[in-house]
Amino acid sequence: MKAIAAGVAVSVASILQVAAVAQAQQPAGQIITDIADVQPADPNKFYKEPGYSPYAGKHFPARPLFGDQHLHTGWSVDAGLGGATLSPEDAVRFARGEQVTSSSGQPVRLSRPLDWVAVTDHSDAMGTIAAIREGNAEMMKDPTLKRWHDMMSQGPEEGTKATMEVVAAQANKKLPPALVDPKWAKTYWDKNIDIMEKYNEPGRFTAFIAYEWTSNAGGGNNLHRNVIYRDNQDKARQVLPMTTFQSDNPEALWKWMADWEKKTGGQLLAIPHNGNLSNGRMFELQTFMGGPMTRDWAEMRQKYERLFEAIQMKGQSESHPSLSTTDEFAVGYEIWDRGNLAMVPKKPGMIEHEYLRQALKDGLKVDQDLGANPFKYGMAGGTDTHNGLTAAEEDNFYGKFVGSEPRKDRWQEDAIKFGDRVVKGWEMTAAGYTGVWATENTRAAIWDAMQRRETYATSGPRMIVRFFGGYDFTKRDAALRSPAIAGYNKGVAMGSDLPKAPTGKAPTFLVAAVKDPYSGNLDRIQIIKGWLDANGKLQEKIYNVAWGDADTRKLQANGKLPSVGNTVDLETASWTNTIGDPELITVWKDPEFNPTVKAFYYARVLEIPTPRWTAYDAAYFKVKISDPKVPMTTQERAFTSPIWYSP
Amino acid sequence: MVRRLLREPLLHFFVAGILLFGAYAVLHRGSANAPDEIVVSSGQLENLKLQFERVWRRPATEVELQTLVDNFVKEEIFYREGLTLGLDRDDPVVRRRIGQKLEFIVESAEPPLPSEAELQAWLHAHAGQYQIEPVYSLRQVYFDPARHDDVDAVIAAAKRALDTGKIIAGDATMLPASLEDVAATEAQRVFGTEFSKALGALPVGAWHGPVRSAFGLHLVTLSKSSAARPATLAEARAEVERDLTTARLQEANAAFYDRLRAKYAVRIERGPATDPG
Repeated sequence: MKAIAAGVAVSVASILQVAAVAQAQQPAGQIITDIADVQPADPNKFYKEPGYSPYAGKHFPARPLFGDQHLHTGWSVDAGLGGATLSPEDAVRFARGEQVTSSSGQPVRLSRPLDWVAVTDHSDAMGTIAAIREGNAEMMKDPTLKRWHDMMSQGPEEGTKATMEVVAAQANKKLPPALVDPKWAKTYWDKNIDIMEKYNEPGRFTAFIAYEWTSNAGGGNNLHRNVIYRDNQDKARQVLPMTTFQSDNPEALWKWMADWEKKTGGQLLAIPHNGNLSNGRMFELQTFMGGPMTRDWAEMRQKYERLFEAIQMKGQSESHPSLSTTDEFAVGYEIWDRGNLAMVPKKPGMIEHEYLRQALKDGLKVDQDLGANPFKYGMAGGTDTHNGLTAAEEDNFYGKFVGSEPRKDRWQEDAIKFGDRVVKGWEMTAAGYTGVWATENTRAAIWDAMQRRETYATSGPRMIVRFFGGYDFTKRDAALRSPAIAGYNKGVAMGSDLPKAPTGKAPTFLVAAVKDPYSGNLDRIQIIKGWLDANGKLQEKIYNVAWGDADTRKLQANGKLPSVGNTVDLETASWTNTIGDPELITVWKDPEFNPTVKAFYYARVLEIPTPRWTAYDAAYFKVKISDPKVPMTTQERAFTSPIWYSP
Repeated sequence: MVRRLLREPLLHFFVAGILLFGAYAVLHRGSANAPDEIVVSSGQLENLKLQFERVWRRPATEVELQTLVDNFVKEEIFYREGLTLGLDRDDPVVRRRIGQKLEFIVESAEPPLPSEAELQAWLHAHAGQYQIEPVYSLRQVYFDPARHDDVDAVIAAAKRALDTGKIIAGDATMLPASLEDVAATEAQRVFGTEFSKALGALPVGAWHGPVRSAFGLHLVTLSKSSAARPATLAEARAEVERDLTTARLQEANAAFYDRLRAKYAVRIERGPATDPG
């Protein structure tokens, strides 16, 4: 059933703004807060009449808008060959929450609609197909075209007749010259734009105009980028997408983008993905052609590449256990590290230039040397499905290709195979989405939030994550549980730069998460810090800053936390929210702050263990997955864009 | 299953390249190569220039144009030689591409915009699809069962207090204390399905509950609640128009295929019985 919000001002502005504690005036003696150092009288100072909005006149984003900036339909050559029959139109309808029939004939629907989507079919085949553009004055001078046009306007019956005539004329090479004139070529690109315009509903659902530029430099080294348009059809139609036939050099893409912006007055951004499959090339410390990095190069990259897709169906590219040796949650988490997209095996030294956390650290060093940081990336998640279905939920996972849509044996079949080099089906990751703190649900507002990196990546669940940095956050800001008010007033949001440190002060961070009502409770929030130390060495450290079951779980001397536990019942693929907390909030102050060195901080939110898609498959298809290599539970997570500090 | 292999275009070109040169070597052994004529017509030249301009938004320079022409000629030669070898046959890329081209042309026969009466009739026939959602204004007080030994007693006490007009904060939470004029799906996004479903059964006024959500328990009062109802054409025009047009297009495409299909006799030669899995 389609839900129409006609005539309803959907008051997103009220969400997460007037938090319940703000009602306060609690009767004495009643235990109503779990923050010990808040006196019952304190919240009275912040008492607000219901409806009295502290946000009035301010453009604070009220709730994150969730979407997928990366998916393919049957219009992508590889997806089509894989059996995908769904079109961009089907893909958008699915993202909007409608039920569709998958390419393998199965009915499928999202648990709830997304807020936005960017369908990113490969540009390499978008610009070439010719068809009739109806009603064009110049074409209508041709009597045959005029007649066909008139027939087509008379309804499906006559339209079909006209089409048959067109087909016959084409077969006999008798098409009117006006029709084969490339000036009138209607392209996949045009048609894609038509569809996105049709389904883009400002205020309700955003359908971006977008494409993927698919550079596999050198044979399978994944340097792919999604190009997202801020603007509408009038600008997008003016220029055909950049393809790799023109160049597979990302610098040429940036140049194309710069050119496009100059010509149209619009704005574009590019989101790279799958560093993990680039065999050392995504974050290499040199130009594409092997030259030295320059300040111009770094600035150009930073101008057009504001976000990086940290997780998707071909694994995560956030961190690798060999690089982050103290990170217990990077171990075994959705890792594809055996080769590139063509399964060309990795050589030593490649992994160092594939994962975002390392790149964020390298960026500090490059910034120091060149005066510009090429790797100042925020976080995005995407699916990269090739079946038109942005289905990233573990219990609703429709796989990467049509061949990996739900079927009894998909877990043990080969997902990718080149000779004896194989990625198994179970290695597919049911992920991910991007949460965007946009002020409203429009192309421009979501794009602007991406541009300022006020985004976070999730592995699929839609948890709400707030992350602010400043110098004056106190425990009370957390106790009030209205993080946006204190956050925007006293600090900067995820994706931003901290101002200079006042003398004697260390950065404080207000960080909060609310679980996805459809998913697991929260295990913990961590803050991951990277810095360039005084000796020029790159460092990282992970701090556990807030966690569930805090009455019984205490930090150990080494900073680690005891495990949250595990309630997953594999037999039924279910779990209980009897461990962890539904929401977490805290203020954390960097205990090892050195105001003279460059640093960045980002938050990682972990859920309690829940069944992985493999467990849902095993339970639904009644198959026994006995291979111990196959993970059956997962800890879903979110990664925020960093906040940077520069002396 | 071959179909499930990863299909990245460039890999295909590699594989295709190897196959092509292999096949070429075998098939062209000893054959005399009569020079064919390739004409780069002024139309084709225009086409190349235009393609360039549509990507780069400027005319190609002389040097660039020469490169485009050289590439075009090279591609044309390879294309013709490939056709001679029959490489277009049994190639899933070519097959699919050409099929898709036809489909594209078929789909450009867009049906005319439906009339008012047709829209009305479609809406009437599919009323269930075009529902105006329930709309609520609510306040809620949250209780986290994990924070209380006897949450029922705490809630009962809170409810008594609320009933007498006192303000109760409940347990600290980042969940909103109130939602104004929100559609049911918005309430569902924030509190989950169970909670938003329960709202439909609550009368306006007075405190009710506890209502269960994904987060815990809530006392809830509604100041506004409107039931779901079928949309009028004025409210759902855009959706109805889009859906009706799409449905007609699908019908037209199906009819087109039926007519093509009728021209063919299809015989399936089943091999030895296999289990398709």
